[in-house]
Amino acid sequence: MGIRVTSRGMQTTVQDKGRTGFQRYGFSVSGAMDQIAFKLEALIEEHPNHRRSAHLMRLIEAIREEGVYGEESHGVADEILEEEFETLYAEMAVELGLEEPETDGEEEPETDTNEDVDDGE
Amino acid sequence: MSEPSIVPAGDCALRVVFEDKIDPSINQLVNSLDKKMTEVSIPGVTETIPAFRVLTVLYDPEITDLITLTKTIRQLLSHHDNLESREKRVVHIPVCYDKAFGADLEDLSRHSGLSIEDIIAVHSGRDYLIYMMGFLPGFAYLGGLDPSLHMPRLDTPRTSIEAGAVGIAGSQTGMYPMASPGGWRLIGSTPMKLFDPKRDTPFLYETGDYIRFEPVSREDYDQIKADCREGIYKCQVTMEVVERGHSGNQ
Repeated sequence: MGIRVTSRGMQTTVQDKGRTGFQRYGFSVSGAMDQIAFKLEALIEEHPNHRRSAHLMRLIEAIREEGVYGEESHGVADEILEEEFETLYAEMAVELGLEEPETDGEEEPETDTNEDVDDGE
Repeated sequence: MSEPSIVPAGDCALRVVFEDKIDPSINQLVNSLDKKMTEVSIPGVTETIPAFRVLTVLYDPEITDLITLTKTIRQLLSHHDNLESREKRVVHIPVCYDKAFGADLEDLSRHSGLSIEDIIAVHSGRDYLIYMMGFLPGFAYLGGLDPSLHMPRLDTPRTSIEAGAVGIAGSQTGMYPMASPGGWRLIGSTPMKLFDPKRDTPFLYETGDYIRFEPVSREDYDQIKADCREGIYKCQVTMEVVERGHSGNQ
C-alpha cells in the first residue's frame, strides 16, 4: 500500500520539529503543527532521532485519488470522510525517509513531494 | 507597583503579565525578569519571549510544570533591581532620508506642518527603546516617537516595501528588516542588513536596546550598502548611562 501525494505546495509539506529559541527576535518556530502526533510517529517508527515527516493538509484528496482503502471500499471511505471531517490534516511518518534537495537557506527549497510515498512494502 | 500575574498559556507556556501600560519602566521589569531567567537557567524552560508588558515562558511539561515554575518566578521577582544606575546599549543605524526612499516624506510634511529638514532632525534627534521584537525576524517595536511626527498608516498598504525601509505608523516608528507588504509611511531607508542569517550575529539588536537613527547622504548610503555586502561594515554600538528617573524618551 502506498499513498500518492496528488497535491503538493502549501498544503503538503515536509516538516520538522521547528526551531526554538528565536521567537524573541520575531522568528516563528514553524515545524509540525501537531507536535504530539509528530512525537507519536517517532515512537511508532522506534526512531529516536525522527526529525521529519510529511504534513498533509489534503489527506482526503490523497486517499480519494489512490483509494487507499481499496476500490471496493473507496466510496464508503469517501462518505465517512466527508461526513465526519470538515478538514483533516495528518502527520505521516515515512519509514524510508523523505528526500529533500540541499539548500543553503537562501533559496526557496524545491521540495518534491509529488512522488510516491511508499510505506516500504 | 502591583505584583504581576502569572497565567497559563496552553500546556507548554505561561505568561507573566505586568501592568497594562506601554511604559519604559514596565518594559524594564519584563526585561529584567527575562535576564534573570536566562542567567539561572531553569530546568525545563525552553524559551522566553519578552513583549511590551508580558514575558511568555515556554517549557517542557515533561520536565517542569506551571506550579513549580510559578514558585521559581515569584522568587526571582522578589529580588529587587537597582534600576537607577543601569546603562543602555545604543545601536546606531544609518538612515538616508532621500526622497527616493522617503515616498511619504512630503505627505508627512503636510500632515505635521514641519519641513522635511525638521522631520529628519526630529526623527533622528532621540533614541528609541526597543520594547519588543516580532512580526518579522528583526522587526523592532520602537517607542518614543515625537508626537509631532505621529501620522496614521496608509489607507491602502503597499504590496511591497524594500528591506531597510524606515517608516512611521501612528505613534510608532520602525524599520523593515526584509521586503514585505506594509502600510507604514516611508521616510527613509537604512543600508544595513538588519537581519542576516549568514552573519555571526544575525540580529543587530534586541529587546531593551535603544536605536539611534543617524542621517547619512545618498553617497554614504551606497558606500555603507557596498561595505555591508562585503561584510566589512561594522555596526556602531555604544554603552551609555541612563540618567536617574529617565529611562527613555517618553
